[in-house]
Amino acid sequence: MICADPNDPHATHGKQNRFTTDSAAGRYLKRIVVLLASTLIILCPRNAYTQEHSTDQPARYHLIQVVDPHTFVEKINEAADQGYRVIAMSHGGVQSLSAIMERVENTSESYNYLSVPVPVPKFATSGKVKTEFEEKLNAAGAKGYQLRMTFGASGEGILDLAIMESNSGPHQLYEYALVTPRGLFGYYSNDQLARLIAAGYRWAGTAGGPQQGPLIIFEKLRGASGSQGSSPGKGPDAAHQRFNFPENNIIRSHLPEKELRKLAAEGARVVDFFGSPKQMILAMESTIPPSAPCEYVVLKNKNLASPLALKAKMSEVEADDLTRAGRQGFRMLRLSATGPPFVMEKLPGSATHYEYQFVSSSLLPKLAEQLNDASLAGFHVAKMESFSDNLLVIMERTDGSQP
Amino acid sequence: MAHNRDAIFRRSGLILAVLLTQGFGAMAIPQGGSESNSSQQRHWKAVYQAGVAPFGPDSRMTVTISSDSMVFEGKKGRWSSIPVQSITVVSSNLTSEHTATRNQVAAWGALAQFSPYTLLFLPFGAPVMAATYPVKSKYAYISILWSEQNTDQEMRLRLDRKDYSAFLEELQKATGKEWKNLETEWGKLQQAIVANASHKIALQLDRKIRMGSVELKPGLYQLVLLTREIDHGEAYLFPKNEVNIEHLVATALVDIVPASPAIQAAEVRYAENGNGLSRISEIQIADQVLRFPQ
Repeated sequence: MICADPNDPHATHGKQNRFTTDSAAGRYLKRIVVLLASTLIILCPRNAYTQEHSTDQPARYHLIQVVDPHTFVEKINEAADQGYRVIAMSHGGVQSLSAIMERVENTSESYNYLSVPVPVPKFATSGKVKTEFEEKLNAAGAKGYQLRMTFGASGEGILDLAIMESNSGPHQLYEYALVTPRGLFGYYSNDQLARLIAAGYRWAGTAGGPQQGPLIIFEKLRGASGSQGSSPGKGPDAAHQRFNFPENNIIRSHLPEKELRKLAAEGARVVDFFGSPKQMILAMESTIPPSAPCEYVVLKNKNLASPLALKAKMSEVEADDLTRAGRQGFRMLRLSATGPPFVMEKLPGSATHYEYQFVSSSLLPKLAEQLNDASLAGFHVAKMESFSDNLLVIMERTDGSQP
Repeated sequence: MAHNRDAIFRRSGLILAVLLTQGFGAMAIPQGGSESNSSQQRHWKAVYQAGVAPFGPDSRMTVTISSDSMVFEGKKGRWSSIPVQSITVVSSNLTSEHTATRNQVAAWGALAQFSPYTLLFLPFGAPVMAATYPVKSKYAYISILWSEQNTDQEMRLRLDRKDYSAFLEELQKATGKEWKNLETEWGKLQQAIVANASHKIALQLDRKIRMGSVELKPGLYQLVLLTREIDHGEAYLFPKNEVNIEHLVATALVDIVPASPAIQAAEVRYAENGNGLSRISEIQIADQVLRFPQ
């Protein structure tokens, strides 16, 4: 050990002489310098990147998980004021509402949100719920709010909620019409659906709990008629659409896969898989004349017999399973129902390939960090689900031009 | 159970709204002080109700408040900690519940699921339930909202009512912010309303209206005005003829402006809300006009 006064020139010279004459110590110093230099080279770009992101740019994702629906909308609007937009929502944790918001690239765009709860009258009849909910949606639509997302039935006593969004772009007004299941077996009236489609409405989402049966929300731009279509570029000609609602008659909560394949072979496309845990409904849309059929893959948990065959274990669907199908051109559909099953669709002639990644954490800040990391690798949020007390985010990456 | 909790939180919303209108709300008022750096830690028994933590509903947990964090520990072990400086809102509600009866109902439900024949003994259980119905347990529900690293999170806990004041005090020390003790504030408000009940004003609503987030049916209501400043006050609405704090239906902040000529009976003026419902825009009482927010 050398103890020297740094202000003493002699002491410094002494130190230098010692190192130049001691070759072993010189080699040791060189190693340290090389190690230091290589460490700096490795760390520098990362540090520079971290600094750039921590100081200059806000994070790409903002996550919200709260209990109170009013606080939920309040927090969403606070983040929206800072340049974020809602891209995914889900029930999560215990009786809480979760949302992922993504930074808007175009800074001139800004969004505002309001919530419309599905009414829960004391003596709920589907007609009363429908009328009240329709009135509230139309009131919001008349102020320029468009249905963005709904929370499905959670079965946990949480209020069902529709989140409406308005943006700073051209002011457009929306009209809503709801369809409820009718009769003893809860079928949707084809005549009613046909009338709505003819009037220019298009499928916008579903809402409602197990008590009143799932409500289907139809939407149109104010002033749009049937032949004009409500949203240009979205879906086929409204006058020639038809919906089918196959159900699994054996296990009512399961996907009716056989019916899906049969209708798909006839040219129908999957619109949604929705409902309550007690009864799930598949919605499929077909056109007249039929369009080229899409291909479907259904990924679900499978029974795995244990070695002693005493009890059956269920396999889990992994991100790799989705990616394998994605590499063959299948894309995961963003259905209302929690996966698995995951329904993947391949459009006729599509050459786009997809890759998937699952991100999950019980800690929200960690989840936000993981989302940001995945987004740097080109992934974007496809769907969020509640998964055994955690939030599971399914992220998607595409190699084609299709977004 | 869930409906019960919903009712509790709806009630808590109303109480909170009342206190917020008074300016008592659970807003943080930085206080600072040397006590906030105290390194003492105290453990609190709590029951997890809802929120971001991966605990089951109604699971027991221990909360530890230190000078820099709140740590939550359940049966499965420690979950995480909240940096106390990231806490933005603490709101609370105090309630009495028929816990004894509720637990018995739950037990009978579980027995019926086990075997429907157990319901044969229900005639023996029903008198016990009836006898224990007046027994009430007092609880404090606390909601903690915090923001950290691009996230907004909330958690709801239930504490024993005896721990409520001490818990808030501890939280106040740790955060250096003042979280209002709603029990005290609610008591003060009740006293103020009772003291002003003799000056109640009868209102006849001729249509369905919305006040804040509450829809009010047409009918007779009693309005109690608490004047906080010369031109500002709080309006409290009660149904029918009586001013009963338990039946408080709506509350709003109002601007008070002088009016002439003075009138005898209260006159309500409405405005359209835009969603098919009206709202009260003004109420003239004697020589004053109460202007309601839009």
